[in-house]
Amino acid sequence: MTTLVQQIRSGVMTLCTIAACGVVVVANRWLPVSADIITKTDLFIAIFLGILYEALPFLTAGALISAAIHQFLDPQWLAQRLPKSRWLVAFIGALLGFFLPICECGSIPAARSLVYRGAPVSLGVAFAVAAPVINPIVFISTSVAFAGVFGWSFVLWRFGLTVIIAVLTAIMMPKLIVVPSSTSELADNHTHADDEIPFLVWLRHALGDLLDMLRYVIIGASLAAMIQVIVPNTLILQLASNVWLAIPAAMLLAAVMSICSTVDAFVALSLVGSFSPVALMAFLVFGPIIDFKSIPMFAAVFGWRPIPQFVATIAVLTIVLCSAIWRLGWV
Amino acid sequence: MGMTRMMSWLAGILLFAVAALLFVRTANGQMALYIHPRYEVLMYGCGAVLFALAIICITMPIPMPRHSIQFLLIPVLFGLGIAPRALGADAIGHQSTALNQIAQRPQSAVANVSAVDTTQWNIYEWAVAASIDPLALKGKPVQIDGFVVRNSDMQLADNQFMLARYVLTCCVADAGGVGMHVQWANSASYHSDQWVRVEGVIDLYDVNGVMQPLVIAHTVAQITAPPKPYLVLQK
Repeated sequence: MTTLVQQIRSGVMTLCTIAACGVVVVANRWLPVSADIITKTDLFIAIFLGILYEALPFLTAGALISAAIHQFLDPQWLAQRLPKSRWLVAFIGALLGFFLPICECGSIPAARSLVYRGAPVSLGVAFAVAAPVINPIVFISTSVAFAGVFGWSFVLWRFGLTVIIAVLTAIMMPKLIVVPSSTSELADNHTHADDEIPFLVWLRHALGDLLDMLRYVIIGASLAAMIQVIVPNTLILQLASNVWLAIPAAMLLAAVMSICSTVDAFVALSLVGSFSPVALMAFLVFGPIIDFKSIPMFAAVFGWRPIPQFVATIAVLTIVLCSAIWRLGWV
Repeated sequence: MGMTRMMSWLAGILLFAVAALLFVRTANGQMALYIHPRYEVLMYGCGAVLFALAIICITMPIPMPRHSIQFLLIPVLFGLGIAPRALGADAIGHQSTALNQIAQRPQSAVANVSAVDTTQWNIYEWAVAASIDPLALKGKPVQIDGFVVRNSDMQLADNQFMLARYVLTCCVADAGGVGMHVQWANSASYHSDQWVRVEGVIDLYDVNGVMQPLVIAHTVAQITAPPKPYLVLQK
């Protein structure tokens, strides 16, 4: 009976999705709606698809890495090699991204697989928070963009602050629980035939992880696009001239833009004329961790309940640490 | 056919549609309306992996995560249902992150105005040069392509329009409009979003005490919109 109800509910949801998207498509192409509405729906769809297309390769890579961890990492091997200190474990997690160069679309599912295969939660949290910045691609892009503008100290502070925030978040939120993906459970319950090719098993795990996370990326991309259409970036930029609001405004802009950490340094470079260096530091530290694309993904891994505290912790740490290095004259 | 098999088939078809969208849009150049061209290779790679995963979905059904079909439908319907269109004059008020707020930083290509052929500069390069030393630009020859912006809130003179381009760093989410004012006697005959090539020389005008470049047009010719209409940074 329950299965039948679920099937009916799923069918109704599918029809509603088709109807909602169909209304947008039909109105956009054929109905005589106002030019302003067409501009806004065009802009929404362009931004939504732009964020999604750009995220898809990284999300797919993350699903493949996550599936590889799930299939090949021995939990006992990992448990024997990690230190007992939570601080040290979190620190290792924060630096792990250097060897798995993926942005947040990939790091969050990979973090879940790490924890699911026996890694401490603090390692998973620190990895998920830091990996979008602590990786060689971001180091190169940040250096190219900013070493000649604000000097090497600015580049190094981006990485230093990210590691500090990742470690502190992992330590300050010890009660975070990693929710296994529905597909992990399904995969574990699924009995593999002895002669099943490991490559195919890996692809099936990757498929499950991809479909699982893709839902949250689509929610996040929709939210980011909707907010960009409703609240033009120019409004946020107006706040940048206020010395007290510049840092939160830069963080808000980064969250709304939801761009990939591998190239956000170049976007920040185009904002040099609008934001102070410390506000840009906040943009570069906060944006790769928290944006409208990553929040639903974090919720998929930790559940929705701790998300407000998680986001607030990272936001406060970013503001406090950025303000501190600014007051000390280091940026 | 069992429910699991049917849902897995559906997911496979939708994944195949997404992979096809990535391949086709990249191959025909329309992907450049959404993302920076540097990602084109990644699009092909991602499309190939999604294609393989679609085959897995169809040949070896797996239980689907809840509502994954419904979520997959959204990009497929939007991707197939709405023809890709470049951002235009109407969106410039929303997407104007970089509009005349270009970073003041050394740009060797544009810093030495006297030594370069300024007719090779695009609008972004003119905007960067203007942010460094607008006075050095006076009298320099210009040849730029862009689309016309004639929004009512821009308070342009009757013989002026704005020529604009969008600049992309990552994807459309960070696209910023960059524009230059153009003075041309028949400005009113051009409407917003019309692509034109403007040739002329730079003059300066005072905006609240800040000198801004103004193109005194000698010729304005209508052109077809380029297949890749966005200027891209950091190739």
